Amino acid sequence: MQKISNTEIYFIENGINSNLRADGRSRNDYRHFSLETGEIIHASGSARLKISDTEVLVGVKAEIKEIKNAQSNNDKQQEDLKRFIFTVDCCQSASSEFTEQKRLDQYNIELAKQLERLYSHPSVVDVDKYLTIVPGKFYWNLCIDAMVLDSDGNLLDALSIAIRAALYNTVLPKIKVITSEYQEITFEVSEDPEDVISLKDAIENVPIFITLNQIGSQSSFIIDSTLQEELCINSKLCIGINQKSMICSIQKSSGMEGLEPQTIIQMIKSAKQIGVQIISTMDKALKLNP
Amino acid sequence: MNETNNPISEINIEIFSPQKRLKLRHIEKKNENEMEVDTDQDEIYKSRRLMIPGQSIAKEGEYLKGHGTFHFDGNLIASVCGNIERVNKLVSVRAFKSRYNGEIGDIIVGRITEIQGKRWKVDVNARQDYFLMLSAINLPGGIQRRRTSSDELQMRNLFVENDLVYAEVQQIMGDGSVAIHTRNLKYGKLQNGCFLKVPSNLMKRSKMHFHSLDECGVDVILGLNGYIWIADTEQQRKQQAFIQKHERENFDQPLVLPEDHKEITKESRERIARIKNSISLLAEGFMVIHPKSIMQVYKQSIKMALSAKDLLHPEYIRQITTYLSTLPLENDSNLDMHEYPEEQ
Repeated sequence: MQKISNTEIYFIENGINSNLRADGRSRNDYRHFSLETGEIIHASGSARLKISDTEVLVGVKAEIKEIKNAQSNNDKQQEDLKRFIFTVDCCQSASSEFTEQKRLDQYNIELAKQLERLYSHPSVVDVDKYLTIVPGKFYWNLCIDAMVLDSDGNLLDALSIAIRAALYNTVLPKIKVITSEYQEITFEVSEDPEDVISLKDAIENVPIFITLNQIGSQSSFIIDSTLQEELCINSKLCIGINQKSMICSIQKSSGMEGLEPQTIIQMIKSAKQIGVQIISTMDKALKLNP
Repeated sequence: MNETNNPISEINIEIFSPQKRLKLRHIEKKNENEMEVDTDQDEIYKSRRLMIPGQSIAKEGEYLKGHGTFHFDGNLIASVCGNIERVNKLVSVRAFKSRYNGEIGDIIVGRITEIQGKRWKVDVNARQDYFLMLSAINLPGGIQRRRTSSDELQMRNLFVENDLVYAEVQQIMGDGSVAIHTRNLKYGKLQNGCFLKVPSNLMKRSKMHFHSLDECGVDVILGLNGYIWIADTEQQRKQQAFIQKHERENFDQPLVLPEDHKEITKESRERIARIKNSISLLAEGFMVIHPKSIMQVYKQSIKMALSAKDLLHPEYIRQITTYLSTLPLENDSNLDMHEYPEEQ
């Protein structure tokens, strides 16, 4: 566990109350981040994100998923929703918080579940248009594997931004469906590396997380917390925001203090502003460097 | 924002900051002089001084295997990234980034991790926790006496877990454990400031490790173990006076600092942030951290009209590190760990 003394907490809390954090940022300042796409050549898509010392690497692997007829209609729909499979793996060396294996496993699952809850809705990526091979039968499943290489706070936001960039970078091979006499379906995968479907246009609705951490007085909250700041958090709200500044999900982390309704409204307001800002700058940068 | 993959040749730039290249050149110069005196057979010393893990140093048997090296396939191989050091036949590689290794008299900043009978365990970024004996601290009020069992029960009144302490290495035991002490009025608990961790190899051994940077009214304690404490001078002075008064008058009661003694103005907070970011900038550029270099960054940032948070921006980090590496020779001599004149 990373540790902090009471007087350090006092220093950080007071700094946040007066809108000047320990590293000179104001409450609503995001740290500079750098994004690289296409780092892993044998993945369908990948991205690496660095925010200060936080470093995450995301790879996307596409698989063909067959949906069996035996399932009832309801089940099938449930199955349809799950086009993404998330795994998060935090390196033990990333943070002193991760040295305990049991805690680490919990944390990995927690992050993966949070991401899954945000992304598993069918409207996130247009399934019919991009991920369907044979309607009702064969779909693309995207396995999204994230690695946390180093940590200086704000992991969830970093992961969601990296996932969005990795999806932008993802290409799926074109598939020709051949139906034989006995209704058996076989595929012919195009071998031309240029002849692919890119998910570039599909990420329009893909949201990102903005985590708002309430520290110090009830009404003061910060974004992009550092590891030290994360040790002072009273409560935490993770808001999923998409390009149109719509709220896709709100999750309040459990086991901490409560929040005033007014604070929540303020948090949502600033999450909207910041989220749109990040997404638009990110999209601009991604379009410049395909 | 989107960076293309670095070609391999660029990796060098990542590893060697301009400053460090200067330093390497500096060492090389020195060694050239040495070479004239001792024109030995050693090829390894002439050609390669900087080793990366897996690089072969020499054939097995030519040299003795020291720290940071191992034998493999008939070769002596470096296991860490660092400089070669050689004493006669013994070759070792000293890593650039390593854990802190205490020496007697070192001034350090540590964090209490545990309380055991009669002693505190202190994390100092070393291979193991150092310990602070109950008998190696000043009791409140400065009274001199044997520590009784009732003192032992009251240990949490002095330091609790996660507190930061400013201390000195007292003794290194035969089994490798290290004792530290706070038997000086300036040592003790650190309160109301901010903490920063840098690689311990960047710290310079000097006479003073507590510095009041007068130009900006900020106190810094540069622990040799790479733990750094930054606080506001005025607030610390007030706090110190209060604690001393408290210890004189009623040292039996636990100390509670009144709110107005903890207050730090927004201006000094900004200065603290600027100093903190200056230090992390130096750490990022892998440059030696001492008051002079900190102030150079601080002044340059003001000259460039940057706010404190701008110092975190990679572009400005690059600009300032480049600027520092172009500073005249005086800066070069600063890099020499032993010749740097002490600040009083």
